[in-house]
Amino acid sequence: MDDLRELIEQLSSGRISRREFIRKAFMLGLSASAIGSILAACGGGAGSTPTAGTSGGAASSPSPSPSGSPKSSASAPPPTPTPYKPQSFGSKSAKVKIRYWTILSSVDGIVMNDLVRKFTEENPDIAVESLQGLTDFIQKMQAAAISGTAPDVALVRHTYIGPFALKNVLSELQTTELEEAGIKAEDYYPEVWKFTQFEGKQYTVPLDMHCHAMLYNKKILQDNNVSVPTTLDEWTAVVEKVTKDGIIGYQTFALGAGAQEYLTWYWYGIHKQFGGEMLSEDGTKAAFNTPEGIEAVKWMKDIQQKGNPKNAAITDLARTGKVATWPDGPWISTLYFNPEKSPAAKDIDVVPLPQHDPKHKAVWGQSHQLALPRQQSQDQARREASLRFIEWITRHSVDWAKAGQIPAHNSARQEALQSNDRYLMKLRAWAKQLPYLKFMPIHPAILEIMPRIAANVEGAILGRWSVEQGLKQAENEVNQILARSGQ
Amino acid sequence: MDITQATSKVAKGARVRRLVWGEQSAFYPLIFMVPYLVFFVVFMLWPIFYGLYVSLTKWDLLTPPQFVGLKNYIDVLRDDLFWRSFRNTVLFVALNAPLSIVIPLGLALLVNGPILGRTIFRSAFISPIMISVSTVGILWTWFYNPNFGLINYYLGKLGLPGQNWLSQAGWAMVAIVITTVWWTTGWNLVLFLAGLQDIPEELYEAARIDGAGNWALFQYITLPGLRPTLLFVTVTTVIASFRVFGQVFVMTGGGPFDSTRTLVQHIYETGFRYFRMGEASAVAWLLFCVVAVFTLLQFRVISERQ
Repeated sequence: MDDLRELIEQLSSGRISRREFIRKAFMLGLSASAIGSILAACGGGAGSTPTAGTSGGAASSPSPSPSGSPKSSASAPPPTPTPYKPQSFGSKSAKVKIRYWTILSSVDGIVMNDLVRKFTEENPDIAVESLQGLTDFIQKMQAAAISGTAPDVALVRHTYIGPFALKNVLSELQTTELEEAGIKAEDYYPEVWKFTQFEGKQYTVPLDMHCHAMLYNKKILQDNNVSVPTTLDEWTAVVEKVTKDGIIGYQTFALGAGAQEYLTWYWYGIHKQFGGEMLSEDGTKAAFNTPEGIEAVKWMKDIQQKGNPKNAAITDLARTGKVATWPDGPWISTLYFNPEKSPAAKDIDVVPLPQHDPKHKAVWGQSHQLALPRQQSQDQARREASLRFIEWITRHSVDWAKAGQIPAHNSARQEALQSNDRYLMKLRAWAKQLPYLKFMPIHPAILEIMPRIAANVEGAILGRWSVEQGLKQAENEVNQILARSGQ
Repeated sequence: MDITQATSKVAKGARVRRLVWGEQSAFYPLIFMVPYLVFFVVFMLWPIFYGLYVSLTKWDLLTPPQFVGLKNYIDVLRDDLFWRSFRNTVLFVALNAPLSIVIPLGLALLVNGPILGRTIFRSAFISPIMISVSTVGILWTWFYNPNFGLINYYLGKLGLPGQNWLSQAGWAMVAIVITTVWWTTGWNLVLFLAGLQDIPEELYEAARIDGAGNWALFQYITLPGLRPTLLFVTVTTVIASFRVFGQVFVMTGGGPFDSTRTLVQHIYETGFRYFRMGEASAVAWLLFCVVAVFTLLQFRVISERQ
């Protein structure tokens, strides 16, 4: 069992290729289907050899959170095991035990669990059972709310708040209990504090913000005598120049993931750069099928075809210095900037995302928020403990920043952005864009809308249908969803 | 009471006792059926009619259902994604059902005769049905992998180009059909074997004496003899093809570009991902109507000349 565990760690950290894993796993006596399910579950870096496919491989899951293994230093305590089962922290004799669920997988989950462990060490009267990387999070949260088995604390993306609040999945946070726990609005970044309010009530406390920036390989750009692009046109020009001889110039974020929310994230930022809107003011109609919207997707398609005409998956190629530029979020810091995981780490750097119009900057942004799901019977002690937990986590989120997230808590964020830690210094590039982060609206049907946009935009980028047709289809589907949800 | 009244009373009593406890009574069979009937009613009959009720409401499992009449049906019939799922499912049925009937029939004819290793062949052809649907999905995802998969490997050896089976819109459906045929051949094979063995050997002998060739034997003896089996196999295969979900969801998740999205996946996502139970029930009932129509047609066509 230990051999297998180690093997899985090696696979998910990218130290061995999938082929190696298969070979060694067979030697350990695993059956083909077991190996298949492990490989599917790990979702580790899409393929270890470049796939000459017309879409980014049949990716079973995109890698917005990378599959890295814990970075262990000599003096740190043993790394928290790869999260997928619930982990219990704190002493058995603790007075209160709370349950904590998140969507975070791989590195994010590991760093979060480290934080949870520290919390229980500093607060011995509270024990925490932590479940990271919960798959089918949206369904499970709703099912848990129905059956009364919801966790005490849940980490959600800000886009989940509307749908969850409307379905009574989240409980309202009263001003009195927030005051008692020491959670104050002025301690948090105002842009994301806004999301804590829905229809006049407060449901969450912000934890962090993240966005896209452009990662690039210094060496490739230098070899081609091009400077780092700051506008979309410069970006396309650079990509055109460097894409040759086995070098991939560019890869669209989350391409190949199909009908899920991830590609919509990236699309939203670019669409905003061209001045587009996603939904009408009153939220009843799609508003993205406009000339600007078409232009935006045309740019996405154009640069993809110039930079990666075969749409190969790039995680492993980027790590080995074969990719020139690509957009990504800060959660990849411990993968691409870590020489132990990426041979090309010293060549990889990050700058704010190029802009279409420097006078109207925009970049996609999202926020993780901590919420208290609705319980069937309200246990006051657990609720207080949960709020203490939330307050502690957000106050100490400078450690959370090491997983590559920008803390929403003001003092934690300032500390993180002034730190000399290798990864936190890289975080500054993402943080520079804070003034013009564009967040997706909190709309009750947003969770259903995002996959439809992703599916149709992806089809347009990969040439399955024209850009105009893709946006038209997306608009129809989104309007149908809005018409249905509007009663 | 006089003697005739007494006798008739005794006789009536005896009749009632015979009715209840006697050999022709319905009592014992009923007793044995009750456990199954309980499960049937609770888990199959009642949910079907409850589903009909739900399809007339707007319900998200968390708040009480609201009656909305036929609105769900109208919304569903206006939904592009529903029609795409419907078209994909019909395409799948059109590809899968004929193959899933003809291939097992062919194999049954082959392994019915006294060939060498008959038992081994039978076991080999039948055994895939014992694998669970998710395992089949994962297994074949690996077979179809463009880089490491067995299929492209052997195609390469034969000098044929490997395909991106599951990530190309056209091939994905073909790949799923191949997987499904491989997986479910065993069911129909068993049924056809049983059906073949019911055909009296004398008919074949007589026909051979009359000089009938193999094809004539098949046409005039085997097929008619298999008619009831064929009806059963066709009906169940078509119904099962309409209900396809597991292996498709595991292998492609409905992609690429929604080209393999099936009706049951649409029901699953509408109901359990977006919690629109009313609409999901409406789609389920529409699927039921479609399947019912097809089934009636098949009964009409196949058992016509019974």
